[in-house]
Amino acid sequence: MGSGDNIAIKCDRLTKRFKNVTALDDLTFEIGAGRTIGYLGPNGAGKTTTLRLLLGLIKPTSGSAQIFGLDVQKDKMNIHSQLSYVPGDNVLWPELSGMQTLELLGNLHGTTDVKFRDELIEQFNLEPNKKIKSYSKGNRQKVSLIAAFMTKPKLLILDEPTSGLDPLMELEFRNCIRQAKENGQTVLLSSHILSEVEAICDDVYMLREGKLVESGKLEDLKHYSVVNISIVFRREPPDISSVKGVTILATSADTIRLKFNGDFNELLRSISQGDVRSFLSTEPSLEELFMSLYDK
Amino acid sequence: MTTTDVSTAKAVNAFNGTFEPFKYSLKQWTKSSLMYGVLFGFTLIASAVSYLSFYHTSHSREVLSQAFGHNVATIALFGPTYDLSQLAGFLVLKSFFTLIIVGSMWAIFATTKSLRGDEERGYFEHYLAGTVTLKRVYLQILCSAFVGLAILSITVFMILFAGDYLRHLGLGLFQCLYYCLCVVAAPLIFVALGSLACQIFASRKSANAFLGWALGFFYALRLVGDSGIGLHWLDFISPIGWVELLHPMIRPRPMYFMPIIIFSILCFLISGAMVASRDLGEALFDDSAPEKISKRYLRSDLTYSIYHVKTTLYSWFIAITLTGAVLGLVASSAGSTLNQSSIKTVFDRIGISGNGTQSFLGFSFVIVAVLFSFMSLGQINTFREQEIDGHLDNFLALAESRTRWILNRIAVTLVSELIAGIVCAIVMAATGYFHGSGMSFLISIFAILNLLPSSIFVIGVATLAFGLIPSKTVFTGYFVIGWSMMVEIVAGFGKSSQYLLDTSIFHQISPYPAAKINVISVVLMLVIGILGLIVGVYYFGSRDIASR
Repeated sequence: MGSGDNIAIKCDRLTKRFKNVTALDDLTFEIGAGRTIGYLGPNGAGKTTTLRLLLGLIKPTSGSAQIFGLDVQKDKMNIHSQLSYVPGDNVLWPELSGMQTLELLGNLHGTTDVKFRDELIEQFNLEPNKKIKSYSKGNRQKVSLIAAFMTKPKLLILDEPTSGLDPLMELEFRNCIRQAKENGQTVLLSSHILSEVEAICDDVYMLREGKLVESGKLEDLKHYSVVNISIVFRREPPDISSVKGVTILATSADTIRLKFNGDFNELLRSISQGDVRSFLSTEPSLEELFMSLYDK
Repeated sequence: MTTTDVSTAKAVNAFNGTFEPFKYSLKQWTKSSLMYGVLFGFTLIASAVSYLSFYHTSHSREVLSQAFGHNVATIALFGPTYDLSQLAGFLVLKSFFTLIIVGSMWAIFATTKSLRGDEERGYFEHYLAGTVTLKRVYLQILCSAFVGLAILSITVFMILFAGDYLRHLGLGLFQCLYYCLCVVAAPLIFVALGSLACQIFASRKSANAFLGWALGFFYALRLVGDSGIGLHWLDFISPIGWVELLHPMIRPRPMYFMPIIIFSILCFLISGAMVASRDLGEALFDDSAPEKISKRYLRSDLTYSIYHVKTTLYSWFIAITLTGAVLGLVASSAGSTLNQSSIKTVFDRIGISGNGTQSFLGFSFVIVAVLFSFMSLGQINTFREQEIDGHLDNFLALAESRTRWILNRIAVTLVSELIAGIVCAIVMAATGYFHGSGMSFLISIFAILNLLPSSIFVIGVATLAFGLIPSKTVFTGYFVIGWSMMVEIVAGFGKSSQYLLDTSIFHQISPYPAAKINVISVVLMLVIGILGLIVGVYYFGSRDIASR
């Protein structure tokens, strides 16, 4: 299979326009096989458009995408047999029961590990013999998740997968993702829940207005972001407001709290002009990273 | 904010919240009632004008009166006829029962959409989260339905009265007014019964099925009542019979509004009481327990598509088979009447020849062709619905090709039509055998096969629209059928351009057995249909899927 062995998803200058709106603009990235990717972006950034392009449900205006080395437009059937998809709008058949839905989706996919499916039903605490229309949103989401995991696909494409799940079920979902990682499955997770992405993803891709604005390992990305710093001085603090990248949040007789996004050497030189009693630097959370990238 | 400001704001909010269901529902009812009002009005005017232009001598009117005035088959199908030598009598024969059936179906679909469909979609949840109760929502939607009925009646009246004034039809204000009140009688019954069905059944689909059966049952009761076999009392226990007994235009009997109003009020009261005591999403018959579905239906996309449409297909099977049975039953007597009447010249004009029975059947098969076309279009429309609501994504994201998905469904539609056609032919031949219509099974089969190319044409054109301009799928299909029906109506009652006639798919159908099967038309419709299907499927395979 060549490069498909190591690369699960490859997008090459992928662009999608809907009439006059550019939903995706020149998107280029590669996702290694076996990685768990958090795909982030505000509403309308182009996350779902990317996923629908990868599934071949819509055509790119230009550019191309491959999954496991196969073109997503030309080899849809082959690709789909190796992936599972949980759509953002969870539309199931209201007249079927949960179990009937799982059987139908399993048969359509072609490969269901029945024993694993039953374990998942237990794990997610689903009552499978009720009609879909009588399920809560969370229970409908459980059906979609079980359907996705039960086929043990090489690639899981999940669009807002924990929407409607209670915290306990969210933990079960994270366990399933960890298990998938251990099995070497690739996961592309589009989500707004940053704590979830932070807890389970290896890499993060961030979109804004159809463009990829940041990507990489989470810990690497954090270095680019604003750091929260609190400094306590023994005497009057020096003036550090002129240092590039400093945003003073609060000052008192002996303390400065600031946000910093610049050259640490310059900051440290300025601080050392005072008599520092303590220095506390906290790494940004993914949420802060997200906000620093999207805050206009 | 002062106390006065707060109370004013509260009052404004309460007002907005309180009447939101009415306003939303009113939009839907107004739009559809206006559309149907215009359709009904112009159908009446077209019938009136064609009567005056074709039956312009007293002799021709007398012949018409003799042909249909005492014909059991006609009376059974369309109700008793009165004074066909007058325009008013002809209008009742020509259009009243059609308007009753179409109006009832409109009321069924509109009522169940507003009272159960919107609840299923979750719209009621938004209302109830505001300042209204479920009972108030129900009352407001009913009010919007009444406004819709009023709009329908007023629209028909305005068109009819304007036509009467401009074309000197000689109907008069009272006849126009009374006819327009009668036109909404059947829709009122089905709004009332629909409101009840929406409290009995938890899904719109089940409510529609129940109401469809009720309409069929009420119609069948009065059909037997009017068949001249001493069971006339059946008219008095059928709500459709009550509407028939109103006698619009000729010898009016407004007292029969009484059972209609009492029946409707009873339905509204019972449904009102039920709605006041139930929770959101509930109904008398709890259908939350899953239906036992054979696992064979869950094996593949094809088997599931059969399961998905089987209820609808059963309904079409029944409708087509019953039509075949009715045609078989009345063909002989209708044919013998036709042999002696000048109406045959009308049939000659639209290319129907042969003896009376053959002429009647050739003409009547257009009805079956219309049913087949609607059956086809209904299936193609579900493709679009599945795309919009996102179900198509589920299939396509799995290892299912688009071509296979659509071809599976088209195959199910075609096979279903073929089966329905064969069953219809068997029933028609059997009933015809006992009533001496002379329709053998083989002739019946050929007659049905002769109709299928128009249905394939509709499938092809609608599939082409689905592939190229998916948002216009429904419009395109209905346009083809609606246009063809309109041309057929016009063609029957006046001189029409051959070019215009050729644009109707129903005109392309040869009136077999009254004439030979037109092979060129059959081939042409099949070729266009299949080409449309191929191009539509091709474009569907390569276009964007647009879910909500």
